[in-house]
Amino acid sequence: MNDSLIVFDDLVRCVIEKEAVEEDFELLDEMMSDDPGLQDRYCRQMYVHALLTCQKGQAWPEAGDQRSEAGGRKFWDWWKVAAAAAVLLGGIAVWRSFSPISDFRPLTSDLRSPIADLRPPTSVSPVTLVNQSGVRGLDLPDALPGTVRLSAGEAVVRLGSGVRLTVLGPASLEVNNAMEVTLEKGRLLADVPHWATGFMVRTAALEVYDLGTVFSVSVDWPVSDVFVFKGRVRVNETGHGEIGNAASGEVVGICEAGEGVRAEAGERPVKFAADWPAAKKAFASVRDNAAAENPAAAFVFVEKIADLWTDAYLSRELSRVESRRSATASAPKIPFRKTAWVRPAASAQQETSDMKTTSAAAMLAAVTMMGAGAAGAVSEPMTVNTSPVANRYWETVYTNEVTVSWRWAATNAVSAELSVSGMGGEVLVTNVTRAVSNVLWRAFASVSPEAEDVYDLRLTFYNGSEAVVGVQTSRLAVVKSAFGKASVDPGLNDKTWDTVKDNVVIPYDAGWAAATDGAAGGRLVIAKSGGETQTNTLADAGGYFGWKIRKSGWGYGTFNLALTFPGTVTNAWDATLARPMDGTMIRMQ
Amino acid sequence: VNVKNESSMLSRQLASAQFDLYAFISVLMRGRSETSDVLQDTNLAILSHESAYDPARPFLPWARGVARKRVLRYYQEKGRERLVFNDSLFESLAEKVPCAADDHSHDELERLRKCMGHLVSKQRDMVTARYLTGEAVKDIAVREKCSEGAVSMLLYRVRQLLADCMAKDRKLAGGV
Repeated sequence: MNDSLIVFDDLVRCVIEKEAVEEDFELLDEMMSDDPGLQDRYCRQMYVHALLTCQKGQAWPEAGDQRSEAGGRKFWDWWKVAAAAAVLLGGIAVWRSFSPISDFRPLTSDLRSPIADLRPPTSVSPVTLVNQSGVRGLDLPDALPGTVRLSAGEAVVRLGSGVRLTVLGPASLEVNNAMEVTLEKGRLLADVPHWATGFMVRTAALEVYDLGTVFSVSVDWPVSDVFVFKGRVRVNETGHGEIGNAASGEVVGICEAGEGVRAEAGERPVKFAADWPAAKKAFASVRDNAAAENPAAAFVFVEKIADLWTDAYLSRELSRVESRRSATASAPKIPFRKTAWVRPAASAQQETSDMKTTSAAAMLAAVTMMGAGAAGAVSEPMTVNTSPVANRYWETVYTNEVTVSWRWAATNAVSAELSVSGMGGEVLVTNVTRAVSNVLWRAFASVSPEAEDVYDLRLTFYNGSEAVVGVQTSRLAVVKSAFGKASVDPGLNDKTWDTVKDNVVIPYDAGWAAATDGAAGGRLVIAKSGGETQTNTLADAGGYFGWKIRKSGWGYGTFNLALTFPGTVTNAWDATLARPMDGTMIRMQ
Repeated sequence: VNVKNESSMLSRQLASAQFDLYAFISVLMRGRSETSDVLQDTNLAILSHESAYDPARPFLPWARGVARKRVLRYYQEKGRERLVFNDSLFESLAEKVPCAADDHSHDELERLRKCMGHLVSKQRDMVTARYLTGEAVKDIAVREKCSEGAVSMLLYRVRQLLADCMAKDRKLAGGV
């Protein structure tokens, strides 16, 4: 071996042992820059080091051991399950379908590791006791699924997947398998190595999917708390399967370090965060692995943060809204009746679609949106007309496939471009020739839409010289309530709040009151409390306004909305929308 | 839970590629402790942009491409460009990280297991102590009554043996 290779190997060794300094890195780069052989050598060394690191927590087969193959098979089954469990988004149905959990291999006791030495000599439990403090009434399961019970004290256990759980009593923890537990009562802190990504903790209210992290879960009926100290987790509401098995519910969101979720029975989960200065300062003492070193202090911190956040932020926001409701109710009577912005119409009749043109050349053409027969229309019909008396402006269809049709009014037009843009940007652009007079557009993929949206359709006609000779526009609103039940707040005295997520689609119609019936257009003013005000001019007297609230710079807070119809009475329909956390929940009255 | 077939397939592929992606990212990040964080970001990116994946093409190279971008992005966001390789070296190394053939990423762990069986007992004990029980090099050195440098270099040579052994086996299987 030549001298430079000796130096190179020593540099790589230093990198692996984390002894390398800036100069070492520079020299290493310099040596590898023009030497593919050294690049190979570096990659292979680092690659094996990484695989060995992944191997942590699993036993090696004995050389020449007849058990080798069987042991290896178990090992691979573990990997299949552990790896499958790493499915992060919507993948729970996948990893459950793999090998039986009985194939999980507990940490071996023949390694003489400090961990193994702490285990009771006769223990065959798939849940290994690692440490304990002030423990009373500790019961570990002999097989999985099984229950860990702890009357008092603090017990640290490790599962076959390498997940380390600190349990604070009194607690009852059902260990379904090495990658899934259900906390029935008590508090636990989970330290999940990266190879066990996808580990899940379930409570009666929440499901927490680890994305490689340290997090806590506590259950003190009727409240469940989740809090992340390191990394991130994905939190779902707990759902229910067809035959009583628990299944994933609605997504609450992804929590980063310093964030958590509180769920109370019968209420929607609320995301909270240690996001004010004093909380951030306190969080520094428990963040990352510090929480695992002092779980009791970590839980005290979480409880305090959750309580403070709930009391100081959410309550304040809701009480502010309530004050406005009361003030509005006691205000002098106005010359028109205020009603809900969204409500079922008395008439289910369908009329012509909203259409308009922006060029005289295309004035005679029509852009219509019609249902595509029974192809996608399988939901229970429910009217989403904006007018309680007559749906004069918009046609309602119950399908995800919309036929956009037109006439080639401009005689010199030889081609056209159809573009469709929603609140999230452009979703479709297609070019057609004169031989084509309609396009089938699938507005959303599934039978029922996942989110509401308002789309602008624009058809631009070109002549043989590529010059624009006409433009037609139309709009289409996707309203989730058309495909199922809708939660509606019908009046001032009704305490029910409709909860929406993502973007907001707001119906408007001058025909709601006789006093505004003759309006030609509308105006919607959105004012953030203590922030900016946005005035939106509505070209129509009835329709749907799409308000992009997420990732649009609006931030958190309370928003006051006022809808007026210029040229009629000055009174306004008003509404309040509270956005308590980052996109997690929007409550709208 | 209803999961679309396409999503299920992608999820399965991603799940079985976890350790390959971890190793790939680790090589490009020089074994930094943030490797797991970047792996998380990569997983999220893959699952949230699944429409960008063409099922007709091999999964591992595509997933590694996503991971490569995430590593670069990590360094850009952290302002740590000086601690990562220069552009051409980075790209060259990304091409050289060993990879199993035909998306059979779990074959790599099988290879590692087989090659571990070829080590002599002292070498195996050393690897077990370092990687399985998580002993620090200095503790191993005390127990073995030798210097930390000697233990560290022995581990280096064992990894080299394993890498050579795996490379031979991989070549027979058509990998790189």
